[in-house]
Amino acid sequence: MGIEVEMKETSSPGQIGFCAATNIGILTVDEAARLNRSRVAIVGLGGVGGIAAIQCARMGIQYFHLIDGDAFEASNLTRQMLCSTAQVGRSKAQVAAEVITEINPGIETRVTTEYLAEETALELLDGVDVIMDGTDNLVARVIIHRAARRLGIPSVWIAVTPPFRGGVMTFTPDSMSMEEALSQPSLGKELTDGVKRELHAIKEARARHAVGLADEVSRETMKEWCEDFIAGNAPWTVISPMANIVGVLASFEMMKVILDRPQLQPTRAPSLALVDLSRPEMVKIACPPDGRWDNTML
Amino acid sequence: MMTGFYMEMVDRNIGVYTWEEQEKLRNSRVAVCGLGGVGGYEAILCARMGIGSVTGIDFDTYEISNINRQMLATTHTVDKPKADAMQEVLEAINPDMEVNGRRARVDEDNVVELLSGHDVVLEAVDDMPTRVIIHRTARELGIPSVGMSGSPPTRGFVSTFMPGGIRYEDALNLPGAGRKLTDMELRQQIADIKKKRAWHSVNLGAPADWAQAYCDGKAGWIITPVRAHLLALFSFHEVVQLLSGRKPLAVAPKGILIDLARQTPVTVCEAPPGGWDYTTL
Repeated sequence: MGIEVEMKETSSPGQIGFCAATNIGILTVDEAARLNRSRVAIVGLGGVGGIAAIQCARMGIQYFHLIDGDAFEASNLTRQMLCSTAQVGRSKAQVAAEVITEINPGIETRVTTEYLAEETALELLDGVDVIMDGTDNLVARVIIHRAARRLGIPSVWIAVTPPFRGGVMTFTPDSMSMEEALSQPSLGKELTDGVKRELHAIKEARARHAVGLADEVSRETMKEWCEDFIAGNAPWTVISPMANIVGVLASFEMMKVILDRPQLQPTRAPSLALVDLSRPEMVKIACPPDGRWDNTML
Repeated sequence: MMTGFYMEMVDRNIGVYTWEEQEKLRNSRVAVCGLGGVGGYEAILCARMGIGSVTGIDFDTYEISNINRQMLATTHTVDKPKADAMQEVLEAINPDMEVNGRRARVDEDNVVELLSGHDVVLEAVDDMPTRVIIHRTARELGIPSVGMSGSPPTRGFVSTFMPGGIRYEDALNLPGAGRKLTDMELRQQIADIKKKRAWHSVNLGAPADWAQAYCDGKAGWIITPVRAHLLALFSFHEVVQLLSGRKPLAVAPKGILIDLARQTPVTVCEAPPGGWDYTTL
């Protein structure tokens, strides 16, 4: 309701493009221009990646490589901001491109409607300033953050865990690597089928751990869900506030990477923004007690 | 009854919430006051969560400078009434739900009619007197209301007001508790608190020339998408907790404090002794 920012007298419209001008006051003119020039890649355009793409577009980023092999389905409607009934059945990456271009017609997109794989990762992720991993596949995550590190590009990692937990962490070429920070069984190994199985198994361990943490109200329903999930009969359960909070925080990490303000640095691994809506400290920046995180507990 | 579409749509909520709780959400009626950076997102979140009926209230139309943070603002909805844009977007998310777009400016003369019949009110307006009017009336109508406030550079506040709990004006130390804001002097006094908030924000890093321009009526309130959307999300989570029959986390005088510059960016806090000083929120 009319809470727009108009510091137009301090900005030079010729220098900064669409969208970014309205963020002036928090951003300097130079920073807004820097956002306009920056390039991002987002892998996975579901509940977390979708809202992150929208946030980046609204903050004034104008180049996006959108990567997702999946299509929208009705169960995505609860939390995935890019999804509406008309988009059910359509490519998530393609819809993402349409939605953000409607926000800012000056946006340039590259759309990849296939899943990122080990063979294609380096080519697909090259040439951007920051990469966001919005996937829910634990093997894909390793591939993404390995490739990002080889390319020397910062990458943002996320986790969403039932009932109310999540995490956001940024890897930079000089920070701890993803596989090290999360004690991944793949560390230093080739991604053989056996290693991939070990990585996928982390998710089952995360489900079991989540049941242990659930409060009285959630415990029974979480227990049932966990049994169904492990038996392969239920999907990962994700509620809308969680996916969106994690996505908004992840987009803020991307912005911090791009702006690189001394006082506003990304949450570099192994530091982690931990989300737990059931605790008084709903979001806190934490360091692993033993130097590394145990992924099964996140 | 839940349709097949509805059950498929809400499938991933189950596990965290039960089908019984989901059914409560489906039978709930939510009013969202203000469809800007915070309220527009809240309305969308309500629809996606499977809440059965949403009323979105806003007198304004979208403009280009809304696009940086308002989820319902796109190049296609510029100049369109916010209430109409909300109606279209929500119906495209869940065709089974009831959506009421109301083109109205909430004030003393229409507030009872606008809020009556809802199970919870989400307040997402930027004008301080309107906030007071909404929360005071919700309480009088026996409806819980969730309020928020955001300040530059990176701060925000969310709190849930229960009909039997502390009054909005008392929790936030506002003058004239319980009184109608038809008293123009009182109304101005409350409106002016926002100017004090602007200057307090300068102490925390907001630009002084902005605060001056704001107080002179030459600049709007600074608000970025990250803060607006976190406010919306934490307010929305309070609503889901309330409607599903669980406990909201920040029943006033408790509040959820957001400050992205801190090591604990989001915390549920007890009010300081004597209540909150709104100037500092």
